[in-house]
Amino acid sequence: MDPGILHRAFLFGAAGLCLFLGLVLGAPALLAFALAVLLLTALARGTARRRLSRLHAYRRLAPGAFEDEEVRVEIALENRGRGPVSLVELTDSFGAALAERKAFLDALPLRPGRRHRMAYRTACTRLWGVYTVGPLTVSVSDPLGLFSPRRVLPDIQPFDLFPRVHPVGGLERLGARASFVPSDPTAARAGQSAAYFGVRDFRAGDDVRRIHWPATARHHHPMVKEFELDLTPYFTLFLDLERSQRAGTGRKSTLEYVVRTGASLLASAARRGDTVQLFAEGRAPTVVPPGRGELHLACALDRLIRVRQDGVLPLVDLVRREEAALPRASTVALLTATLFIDTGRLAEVFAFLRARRIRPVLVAVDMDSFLPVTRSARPRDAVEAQAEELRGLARAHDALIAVFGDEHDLPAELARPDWLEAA
Amino acid sequence: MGAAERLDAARRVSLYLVSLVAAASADLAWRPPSPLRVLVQATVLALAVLLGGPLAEALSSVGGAGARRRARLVVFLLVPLPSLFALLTIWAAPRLAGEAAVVLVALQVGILLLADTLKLELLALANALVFVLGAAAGGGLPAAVALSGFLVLTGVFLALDHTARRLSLWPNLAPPPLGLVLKDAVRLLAAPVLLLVLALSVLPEQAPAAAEEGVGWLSASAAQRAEARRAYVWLVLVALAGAGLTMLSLRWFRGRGRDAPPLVEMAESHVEAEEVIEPPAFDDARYAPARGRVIRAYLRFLARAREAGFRLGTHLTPREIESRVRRPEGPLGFLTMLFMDARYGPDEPVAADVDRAEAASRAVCSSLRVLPRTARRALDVPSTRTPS
Repeated sequence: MDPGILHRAFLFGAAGLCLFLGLVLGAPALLAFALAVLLLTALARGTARRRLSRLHAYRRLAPGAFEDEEVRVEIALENRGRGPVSLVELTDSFGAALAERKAFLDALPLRPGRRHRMAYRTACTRLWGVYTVGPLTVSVSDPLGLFSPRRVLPDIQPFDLFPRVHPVGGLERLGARASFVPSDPTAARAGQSAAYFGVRDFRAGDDVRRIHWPATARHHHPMVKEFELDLTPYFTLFLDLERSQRAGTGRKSTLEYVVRTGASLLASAARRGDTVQLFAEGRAPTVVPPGRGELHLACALDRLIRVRQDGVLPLVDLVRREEAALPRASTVALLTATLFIDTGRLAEVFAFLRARRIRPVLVAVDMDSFLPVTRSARPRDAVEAQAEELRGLARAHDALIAVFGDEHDLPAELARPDWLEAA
Repeated sequence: MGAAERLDAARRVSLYLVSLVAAASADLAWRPPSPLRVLVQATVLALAVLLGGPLAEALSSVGGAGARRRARLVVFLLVPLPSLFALLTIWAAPRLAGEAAVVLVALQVGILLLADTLKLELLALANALVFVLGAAAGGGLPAAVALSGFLVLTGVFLALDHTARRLSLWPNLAPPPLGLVLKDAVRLLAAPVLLLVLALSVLPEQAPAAAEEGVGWLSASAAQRAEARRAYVWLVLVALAGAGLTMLSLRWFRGRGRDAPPLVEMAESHVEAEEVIEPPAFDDARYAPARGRVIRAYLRFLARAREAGFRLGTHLTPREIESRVRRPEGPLGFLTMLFMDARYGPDEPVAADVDRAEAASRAVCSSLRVLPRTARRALDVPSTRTPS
């Protein structure tokens, strides 16, 4: 029990006893004592409430983090009253951690008109998703600790917890097209970048401004400078959110596998400098327009963790619908939650992509290996046969393919740098 | 001695002083005054407070938490019985009050000895209250000292106990200064204690229990009263000496091993910086600081203009407002221009413009005379929508 309540009860009991004895035995000193004790408790209550009303607190933190990442939460506590306050207890609720409630104490005296900046660190120990931080509770006592009123500040912020991402090996060898715009990624082929590649003989049509005069003088015929090829890597991810392909629960579910794999692919592409875009069709469409950089990645992951498997549009249809958004010589990853996709139509899609020099990547999650939700699991023979057919199709169209199932420990598989290459 | 140890020692000393003042007052109220007896009481109570800590450490391995909880419950149920019996004896048979006070002192010594082991501080306070009630039955100076002293020292103990308990959950935090804790407690206690002292000095000395039996303070001769006053001087000296010695002894006991690392690692927050809070207007600003200052200067003018009787609806443009208010022409025009630049212009106002806008707003506001509400209502101006 809160000691404040016990102490308060003791004082009230003492006052009551003195009041009773004073009245019964006619002792005015006891009556005066009882009234003084009651006055003291009333003043203590008023002081505690007044102190609390003058305290303000607010929080600052990053809007999101990756799983198991440590987050620093800054709390500012302000005293807008006229007297110093000490022993202010603050309780914050951080939903992304298993130990949700974070209580801490500002023991130092906070002078009027001053602000104390404090911070606590916490690890995001829950699984990916959208959580809340807050409300923030402030509590302060009167000097005797008899009353400890608390105020809940409606400072509730959403907090995005992204799945842990792993670098995907092999993406750096995927498609990219030549660009006139200087960019960081280049290829060791002759192109238009600012990176020097070498010197070669002059050919008809070469720009005379590129003639390398010292080499020309040495070789007695015109030589020109060559530069490396600037690339514009472009990565597009299609997610399969068909409702009929829900299977499994919690960490072993098709949604979990699709989202985790998608996050790793997006992060790897964005961090190597790709322009990334995302298409998915649940009940509502999820579209992340093309963009680059960490902020764009955060935006894409923010959309990714909000997807639900409640759509009706097959993945192949989604690709065909959005084919105008696929630039030539780029990379397209198809993330399907089942192996049983229409192989005829998939072959058409692959053919279309290869015709545009787009490198396809197919990541298939075997829904039949998970706990059935919408339909009973197919026989393993049929599943194996379908997986083989998909692999053959991928080989035929020079596509990369990876198949994940319940038997795979997804974080461990994704952590392998060559999972896409090995597949 | 660290700040936390100092706080804990002060808490124990305050509990000791509550016990001493209460016990000595009960004794002086009912027995012939004797400085020696006060000294003995002070020594015995101090020893009980001092030995309570080592006793708790020695008994720490005896019994589990459940057994301690049960023992505490038993003590809380049983100890008040002899206490209340002693109190009844004082009120019903004042001739036995002196002996009852001795019993209560013995009880208090036992409680203080076990206070750390079984967390009996509240029981110690309750027993001290019984002393106080006994002293109050005697009336006179002991009653006044006991009642007001109990209120002050109990308040101080509660304040220190509250601080120590709060900090026990965060042992790595630096506690607030002891002086600040005491100052806060004294500030809260001042009014009730002063009123109590005033009341006790004004109210008649009345001791119904002792009146008929010819014992106690009211039946004492003038010489005995003088002796009792002398005993109180001794009490003050003994209390000061006892408190000092107790503090020193606790320091000696607790000082050992203070460099040992804490057993519990508390990864909690510490204050990283203390800043001065900016004026609230800046915090609430919808605009950047410079732009916001100009806009707020204009809003102050609008508020003043409304108080001066102008009905300024939200549909009016700044120029229309200027044409309605009209005077003082120069500052008003200047303020309107700066407001329009700040509110609708692309650039942030420079510092000089902000100062000029605020000066112009002050000039315009000071030239507008505020009308009483009734006069404002009486103005025959078409009503407009209340501006947001």
